[in-house]
Amino acid sequence: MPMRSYSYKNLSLLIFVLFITSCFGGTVEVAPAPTSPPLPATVEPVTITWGFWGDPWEVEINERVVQLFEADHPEIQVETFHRPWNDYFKELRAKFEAGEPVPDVLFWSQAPIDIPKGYFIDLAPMMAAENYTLDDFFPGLLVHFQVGEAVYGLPRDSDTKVIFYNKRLFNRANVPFPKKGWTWADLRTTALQLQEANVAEYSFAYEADYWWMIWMWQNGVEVFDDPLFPTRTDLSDPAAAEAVQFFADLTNVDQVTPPYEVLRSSEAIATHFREQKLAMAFGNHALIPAFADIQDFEWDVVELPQGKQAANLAAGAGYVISATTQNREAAWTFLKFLAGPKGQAIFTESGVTVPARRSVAESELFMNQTPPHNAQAFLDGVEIGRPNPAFPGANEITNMMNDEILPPVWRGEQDAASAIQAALPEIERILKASQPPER
Amino acid sequence: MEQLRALRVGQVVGLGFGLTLFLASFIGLLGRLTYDISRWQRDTIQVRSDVERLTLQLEILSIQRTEALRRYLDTADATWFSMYETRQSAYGDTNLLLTNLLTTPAEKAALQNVVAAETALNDKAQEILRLYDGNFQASARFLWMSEGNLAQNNLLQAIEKLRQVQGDTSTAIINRARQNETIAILSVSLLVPLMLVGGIVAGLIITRSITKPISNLVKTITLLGSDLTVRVETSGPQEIAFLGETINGMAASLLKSSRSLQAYKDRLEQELKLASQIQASFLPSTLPQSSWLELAVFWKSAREVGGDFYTYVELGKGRQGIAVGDVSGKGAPAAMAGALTEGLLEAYAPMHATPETLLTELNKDLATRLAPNHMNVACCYAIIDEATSCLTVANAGCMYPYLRRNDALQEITVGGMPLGSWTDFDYTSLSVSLQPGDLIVFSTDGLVEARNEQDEMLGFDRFQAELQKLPPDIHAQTAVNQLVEVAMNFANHGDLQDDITILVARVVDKH
Repeated sequence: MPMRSYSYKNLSLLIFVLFITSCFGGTVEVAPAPTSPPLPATVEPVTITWGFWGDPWEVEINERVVQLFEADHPEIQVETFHRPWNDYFKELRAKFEAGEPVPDVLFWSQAPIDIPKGYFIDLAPMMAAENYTLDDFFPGLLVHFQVGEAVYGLPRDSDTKVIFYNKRLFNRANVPFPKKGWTWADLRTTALQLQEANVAEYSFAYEADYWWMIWMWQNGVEVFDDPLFPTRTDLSDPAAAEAVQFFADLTNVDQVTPPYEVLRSSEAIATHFREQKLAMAFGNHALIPAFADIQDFEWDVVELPQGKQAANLAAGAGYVISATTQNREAAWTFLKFLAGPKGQAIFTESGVTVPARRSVAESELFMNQTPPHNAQAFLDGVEIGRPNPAFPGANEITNMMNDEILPPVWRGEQDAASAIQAALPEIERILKASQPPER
Repeated sequence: MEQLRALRVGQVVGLGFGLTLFLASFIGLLGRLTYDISRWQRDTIQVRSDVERLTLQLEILSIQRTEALRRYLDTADATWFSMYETRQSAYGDTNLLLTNLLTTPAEKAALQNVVAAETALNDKAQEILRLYDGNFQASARFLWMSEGNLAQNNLLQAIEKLRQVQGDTSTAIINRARQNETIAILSVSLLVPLMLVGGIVAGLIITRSITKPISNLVKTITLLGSDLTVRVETSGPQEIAFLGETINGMAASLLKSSRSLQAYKDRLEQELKLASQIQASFLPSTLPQSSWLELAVFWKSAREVGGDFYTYVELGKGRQGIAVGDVSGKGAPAAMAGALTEGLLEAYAPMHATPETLLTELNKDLATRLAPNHMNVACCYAIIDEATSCLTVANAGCMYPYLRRNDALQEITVGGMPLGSWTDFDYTSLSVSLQPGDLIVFSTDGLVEARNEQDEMLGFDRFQAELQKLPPDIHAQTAVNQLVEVAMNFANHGDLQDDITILVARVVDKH
């Protein structure tokens, strides 16, 4: 039909025009409207308990730490469990043994003694899940919490020892300030010079209890062949008695130190130093707040004098999670907060601790504290620090040495060699009793 | 052919219209294309510019905000905290604007990373501010310098990554725009000739679809003038097809009519042919020849039958009557009137001793018959009497007979009204004595009125001159032939305009 072919032509033209139009018909992409993020579901806060010991000022800091943590983590509430040092471990160990509830997170010392009892959980799996690393911690501080690949806790601080010295008394005596690398001989000389200058009641004070072990280390005595799993002791080494005798002579021969009754108390030593009756004092970072804000009191710290070698203590308490906790994740979150940079910063700012984390310890927060002092001395001490013995019989041996064996030496009533020699059989017995069956 | 030329003009106009339409469409499309590309590129450039500006602004605000918080932590100056909050708010606004501008998945993912880093930084800032307000200012400063800076660096890295993704996206978009531009230019370059060719083809198709059937129609109609059997093609547009069908119908009707007319014409021609034969049979087939008088005649009608006639009547006693006549008009009516006149004349002639009485009698008879038809008959009747060597002539409206004697040519000037035109007309006669060698010529007006191509008549002068050229002893038949040839030559042997009749009598010298 003629009409049909005509229509085909018109249709072809229309398709041709539509084709051209479709070729050039521009389209503008329109950005989709942004979608609102989903609203977080409301969850009931989890309540955990944090156990710690400490002085009242330490308790106050801990309470503020809890407040800050709860503000950062509203999903977790933290209750506190506080006991004095002497009661804390006795009560909690009893609860552990009785199977009674204990705090989820615990501030703990000498963990190696209790780790084998199964009190704490291994944190390694949770750390591995989060790629949580221990690189920032001083390695020596981790010794008490690691057993093989297992990690049972994270350290808070280091009980590194230094020598505080009164700069004003030194200046008055015209005695040069002690410097890093000084020796026991330098110590004795300085003490004698100060004594001779008669600028203070006492030139030097050391803590007679516990830390005689540092002097033995410096004199080349290991004391125990392993701080956690010792099999033998070298206290029979004459160098051990030599170290004790050196410091006992400072008291009894040179008479440059306070008497044993003062030396057995760190608080008494601190008081003497604060009252500027003492030119040099053995102590740790916890003393700094006590020495701050005192007018006409110029002091600084220096590394421990070294004997045959430099040595210091690298030991501190840390945080663990109870194996009986029902809120493992929340406890882990809180532990990370405490042992993390923030928790460490808070304690560092309080001035009482040497932070266990290198990042905090090497920061201005620690290095530029007030009053200004040689904070590097603490870090140097950490670097060369050794863990104190922490095995089942360690406290028994230490207590015996502190309470029975060494006091006569410090008083000048007995020479160190004979005193230690007399104690060796008992020490050997305790060591033997402390050996785990499998070891 | 005129119609065909008009059709060609129509084709050109149609083609031009089609081309104009296509070019207009093309220009419209080109304009739309140019506008779309221009608008898209303008919008794209604007959006990409906004994206880059907002991203830079985001980075600057982030740095300013962090610095403000750091200074606040260092100095506890509330001005810095206010600035921190201002930058924080501006950052949020900028981030929202940026979110609405980003379209690609890669950019959205990169922005999500920025948002995540921003959230982490904000959380860290809030933690640190709480620490600061909790009287751990040094810890707050330390954490801001460590973890805060780390979060800030993460944010800046995320922003930098976003910037890179945006750069890649912008590059991709620009490349795409260039590709579109290239495609557009290529399309235009290809489409221009394509559109032109398409326009020409479409115009040709459209115009040819309309004009070709019309052209065919005109050609066929032209052929129909000579051949009614041809038919128009009934293809093409509906209107043209309808017209073709109508013309075919008309042609069929015309063919039928033509065939009927042809049959009628054939029949009529057959009848006329028969009439011509009958008319010819009425005329004397031969004229008597005697030793004294030679008679010769030429008769030819312009059509199948004519109004001229001649006759010869033997009157006895040496008297011979001869007549030539010419009926007014031509064709069958004239032939019939001529036949009637000839028949009556042959019938009446023996009864009349003189020519004039015969014509008078004949006139009366014919007048009643021819007058109703407004016809008349010119007729010249002469009686030649051998005994007296006398020629008597009466003439009813016919040419004067000529008498050539020796070299002299004389008209026998006797006349009268044509027969049938006047009822009571009395004719007269004129007698002439004949001499040997006299040549008497009777003729109707067809001979002298023979016309050449210039529409000139032979005329009396030329005719008379030809008569005078005739040799003295020419035979009557030869004279007739020469005179007829003169007329035919003058008319270039074309079709006769009128019937021709010429009758020559020659007196033979007995001696």
